[in-house]
Amino acid sequence: MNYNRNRSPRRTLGLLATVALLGSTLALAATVSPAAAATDVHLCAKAGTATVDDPTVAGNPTTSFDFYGFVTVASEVECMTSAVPTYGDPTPIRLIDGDPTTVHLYNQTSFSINFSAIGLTGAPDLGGVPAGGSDTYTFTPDHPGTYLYESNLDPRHSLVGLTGVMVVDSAVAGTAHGTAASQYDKEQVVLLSEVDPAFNATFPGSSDLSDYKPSLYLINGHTFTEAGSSGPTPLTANANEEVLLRYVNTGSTNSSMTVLGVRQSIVAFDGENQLGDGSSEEDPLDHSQVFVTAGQTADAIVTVAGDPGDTLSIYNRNLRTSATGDNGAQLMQIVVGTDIIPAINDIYFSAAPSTRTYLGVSVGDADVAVYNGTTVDIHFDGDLHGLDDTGSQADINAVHVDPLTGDVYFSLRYDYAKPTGGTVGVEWAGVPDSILQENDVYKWDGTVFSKWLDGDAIGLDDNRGRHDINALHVFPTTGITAFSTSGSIQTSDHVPLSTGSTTWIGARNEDVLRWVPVFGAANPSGAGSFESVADFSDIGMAAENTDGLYLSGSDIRISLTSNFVEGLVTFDHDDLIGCLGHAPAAPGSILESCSGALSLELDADDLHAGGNAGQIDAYSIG
Amino acid sequence: MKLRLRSKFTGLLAVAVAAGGMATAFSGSQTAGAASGNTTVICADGAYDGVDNSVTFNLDARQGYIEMPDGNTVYTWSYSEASNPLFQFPGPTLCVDQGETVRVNFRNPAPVGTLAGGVSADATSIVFPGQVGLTASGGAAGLLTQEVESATDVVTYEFVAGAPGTYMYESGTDAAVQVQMGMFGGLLVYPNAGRNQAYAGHEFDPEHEYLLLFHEMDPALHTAVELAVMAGGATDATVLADYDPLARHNRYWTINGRSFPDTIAENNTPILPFQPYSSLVQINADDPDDGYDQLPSLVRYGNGGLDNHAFHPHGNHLSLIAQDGRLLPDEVESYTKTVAAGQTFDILAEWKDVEAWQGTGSPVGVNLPALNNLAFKDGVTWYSGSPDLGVEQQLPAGTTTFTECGEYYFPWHNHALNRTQNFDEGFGGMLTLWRVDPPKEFIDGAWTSPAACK
Repeated sequence: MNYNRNRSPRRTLGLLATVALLGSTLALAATVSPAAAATDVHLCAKAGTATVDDPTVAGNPTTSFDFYGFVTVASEVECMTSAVPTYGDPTPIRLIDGDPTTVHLYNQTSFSINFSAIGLTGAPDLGGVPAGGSDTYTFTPDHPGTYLYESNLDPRHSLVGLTGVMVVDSAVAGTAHGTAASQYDKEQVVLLSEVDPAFNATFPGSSDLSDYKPSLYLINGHTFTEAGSSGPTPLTANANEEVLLRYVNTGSTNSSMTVLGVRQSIVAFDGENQLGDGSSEEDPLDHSQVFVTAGQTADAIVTVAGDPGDTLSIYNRNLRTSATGDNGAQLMQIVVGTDIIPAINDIYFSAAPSTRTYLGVSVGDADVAVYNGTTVDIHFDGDLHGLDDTGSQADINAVHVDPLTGDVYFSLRYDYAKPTGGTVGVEWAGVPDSILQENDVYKWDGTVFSKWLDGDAIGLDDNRGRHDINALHVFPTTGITAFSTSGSIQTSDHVPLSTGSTTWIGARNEDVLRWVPVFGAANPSGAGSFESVADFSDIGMAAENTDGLYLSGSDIRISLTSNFVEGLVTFDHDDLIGCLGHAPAAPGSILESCSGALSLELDADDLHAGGNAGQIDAYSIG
Repeated sequence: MKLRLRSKFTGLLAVAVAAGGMATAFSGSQTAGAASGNTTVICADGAYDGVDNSVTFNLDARQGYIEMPDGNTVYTWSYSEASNPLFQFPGPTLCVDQGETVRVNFRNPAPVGTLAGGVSADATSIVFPGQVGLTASGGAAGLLTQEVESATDVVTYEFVAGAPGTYMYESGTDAAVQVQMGMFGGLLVYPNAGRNQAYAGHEFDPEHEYLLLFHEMDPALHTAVELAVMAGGATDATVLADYDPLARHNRYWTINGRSFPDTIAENNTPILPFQPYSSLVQINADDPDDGYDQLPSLVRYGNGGLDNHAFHPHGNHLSLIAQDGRLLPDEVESYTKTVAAGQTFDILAEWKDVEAWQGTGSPVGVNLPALNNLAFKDGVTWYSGSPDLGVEQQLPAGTTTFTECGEYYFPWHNHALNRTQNFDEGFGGMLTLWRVDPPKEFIDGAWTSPAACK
C-alpha cells in the first residue's frame, strides 16, 4: 500500500482535510457514515448529581456527589427543562474532519462558563457566557482524532465535571487518522477523571482550590469496585478485533494506562499522528503503557486476544485508588465476545511469472508460498511436480489452500502439457487431460493431483484467453467454486447462466462469480448454475482485474492486477485488499457495499520491498 | 540444538552475609557480571530445559526488612527465588532468551512473624505487563489473573518471550497495596542475536549492563501493615485495616530497592543483605585512536513504583533506543526522561572524547585554581585533582578522593528533587552516579579497564 510515503504525515492529513472541505469525491462521501456528521452541536451546561459505587465502604454501596456537566440537547428549552448531564459521559460528540462546526452553548449553571475544545478551537473565550446565557462557537476541525472539551474560564470548572470528549472522524472511514496503522473495528472512549466530592459540594461558593484533594478515581464516570455493580460499562469485542481506545484525561494527574495481555499501538496523542520519526505512516509505536498526561488525549489500538468470556483489563498503572482490595481502581474491562473472527495467520500466494524473493525465500511462479506474518515458506513447490517455473507457461495464477487439509487448488495462467513419466507422472495420472487448461482447476492433496473443476463443462471456453480463471476460492465440502476470470465474459460468448439455459451471463474481469453444482462436492463441474458473488462496480472498480480471492462469511479479500485508488489511499496491485462486510447487490440492482472503506489486509511491501516489484498473482488464506 | 547465549561472565558469585546472626549465602542460579566494582545487572537464569526450550523460575512471595541510608528499616513485601532463603527487594531479575517459554511457579508460603515466609494477604499473584499469550493455571481466578490464595497453592504463569527487551513483573492482586509494598521485579529478554545485544543489532559492552528499577515508599503505610502482621493479622481485613491509600505520602525513593548513597554500593554488598542490586552505572570512555571500538553501556529503566519519575544523568546525553520492550523507530538523543509508572526504556550510554578528556589542553578552557585555593567539604571528594580523564593530581593536604584511576563521577537522578532525599536527609533518594573510566587497555591479550581502575 502506498500512503503517499514521501509526504509528511501532517501534510497528508492536511490534504485529507482539504479534500473533505471541497465536498470530496463520490468515493470519499460514500465512506463517511452520514449519521456521524454533526455540524451543529447544541451543548447544555447544568448541575447534576452522580451516583457511583463507594470504594471505601464494605460491599460498595452507592454514594452520590454533585457536579456540573455538559449534555447535548436539541434546543435551549431542553437545556432549561429536561436535560440531565451524566458525569464522565464517554459518549463523544462526533465531528467530521473539515466540516465547519458550530457549538451552541447554553449555560444553565449559576456561574459564567465558556467552551473550549483543546486543539480545535484555538484561543480560549476569556469573556465566557454568563449564567443563563448562551453563545455560539465556530471552528473547523482540521485533524481527525480524539479531543477534550471543557469550560476553562476557571481551572475549577473541569475539576467539577465541565468537560467531555469530541471525536473528529477521519474522512477515511474505519480509520482514526486516515492511515493504515489507524484502522479499527470497534472503538472505546476511556475518560479518566478524579473527584473531590467535598470540593464539588462547595463549588462555586466557598470552594478553595488549594483544598482540592480527589478521593474518587473514575473511568467514564464510574468507580471500579469488586463488589459493586455499576462500574465502567465493559466493551465486548471479539478476539482478533482491533479496538481503538480513545483515552481522554480530564483529571489533573498524569496517568500511565496499560492493558494487560495485549500491546497498545499508539497512533496519536492530542489528535496528532504519532509516527515514530515521522518518516513512515506504518510504524505506530508499540507499547504496553500509554502515558496520558493531564488534559491530553491518546489514540491506541489493541488487538483483542483471548477466549470468549475472558476479560482484558484497561487500568491506570499509577494505581491511584481510595481503598484497598482493588476497590476504587481506575479500571475497566474488555470482555472477549463469542464470535470467532479468524485471525489471518497464514497467507498463501504465488508469484507472477518469473521467480522472486520474498523475505529471503525464492518463490517461483509455479510455487505456492505461505506467509505466517513473520516468515515465508514454500507450501507447494511446482518444480517437484513437473510444473516448470523457469518460464511463464506453468505459472499458477489462481490458488486456494484448504486450511483444514492443506490441499492446494490452483489454476494455471496458460494451457500446459500435463507432466508425464516417472514419479511425477504417477502423481498426475489421475488427471484425464493431456493438456492442463487455463480455465480448469486442479487439486493437489499432498499425494496426487486431480481435476476439481472443468471450465469447459460449466461453459467457459478454453479457446478464449479471457476465460482463464485467475482468482479462486474453493469450498471443498459443497463443491462450490468461486472465481474471477482474467478477461470479461461477454454475453456473446454464450456462457449459460445454468446448465441447459439459453440465458447468457456477462461478467467483467473484476467480478467474482461462483459455480454452484447441483450434486455438490460429488461433481463440482456437473450441472449447476452461476451466481454473482461481487460486482465491485459500485465500489468504484471498472478497469480493475481481480487476480486473487479469499472469501470468509461476508468478507471478501482480493488482489488486483493494477493499483487501485480509493480516496487518497492507493492499494498496490500486489496488496491483499479487504471489502469486509460485503453486502451484495439485490436482484436487479448493482448497488453493493463494503461495511467500511476498503482495508489493507496484507501490504505486499511486508514481503518484498518495493511493492509492485514483488508481483503476486494469487492469494489464499489459511 | 539451540545454544543458550549467556553473558561471558557467568561465574558463580557467593557472598557471605550476616543476617540475623546467621551466616548464609546467596546460592542457586544467581550469576553476576564481573565488571569493575561489580555493579552490572545480576541475572536469575532459572532452570533451562532444552526439550521444550523453556526456562522455569520458582518464585515465592516474601516479607522482610530493607535498610535505608538514614538508619531506618522499612517492612517490605517482595519476591525471592524459592531456592534463596533470604528476602530480597526488588524481586530477582529474571533473564531469558528470545523464543524461550518462560514458566514461573509462584507460591506464597506461610508468613513467619514479619521476618520470613510469604505475605499476609488473602490472595496474591504475578502479572507480566507487555507480554502476550500468557496462560495461568492453578490457584483461583482473580481480577487480573490466577491468584495464590493459600500457602499450598501454586500458580504457574507461562508465556513465550517473543520479543526482546526490558520488562517487569509485579503483583496483579490489590496492586495499589501490593506493588506499593514492593512486589515487583525486572524481566530481561535477550535477542536471539546474543546476550551482548539489547535488541538485534544494538550491541553493548556486556561488562556494562545496568537495570535501574524505580520505586517509592510511604513508610507509614508499611508500618501500618507491619504492626497489623505483628499483631497476628493474617487476612486483608486485619492487615490492611489502617492502610489508607489516600494518605500515601512518600518518604523514600529507591533505585533497585536502595536509596542514595546505598545505590552506588556494589552488588551484594554485605551492608545491605536484602537489597542485592547496585545501580552504579559504569562506562569506559572510547579512545577513537586506539583501534578498539568501545561499545556503549546499556542502561535499562523500569518504573515499578506508583508515581511517574523524571530521570536524567549529568555529564552527557544518552541514546534512547526502546520503550516497553520495543525498539523505537529511530535512536533518539535523550536527556531527561519521564518514566511513567510501569514503563521501561532502554538507553545506550557512551563517552567519546566528551569535553576533550584526552588531556590535550584544558578541557574547559579556563585556568584551574591554585591548589591552596581549593577546599573540599568534609575533606572528601569525587574529584581526582585533574579535569582530564584518567589523570590523578595532587589535592589539598588532608583531602581524600574516592577516585581510583582519575575516573569521572556524575549524578544520575530523579529531577523531582524532593525525591532525592531520605526522609528529609539529602542528597539521597532516587539518585545514583555514573562512573566514567578511561578507555580500556590491551592487557594480556584482551581489552580491559586499566588495572588501576579495578
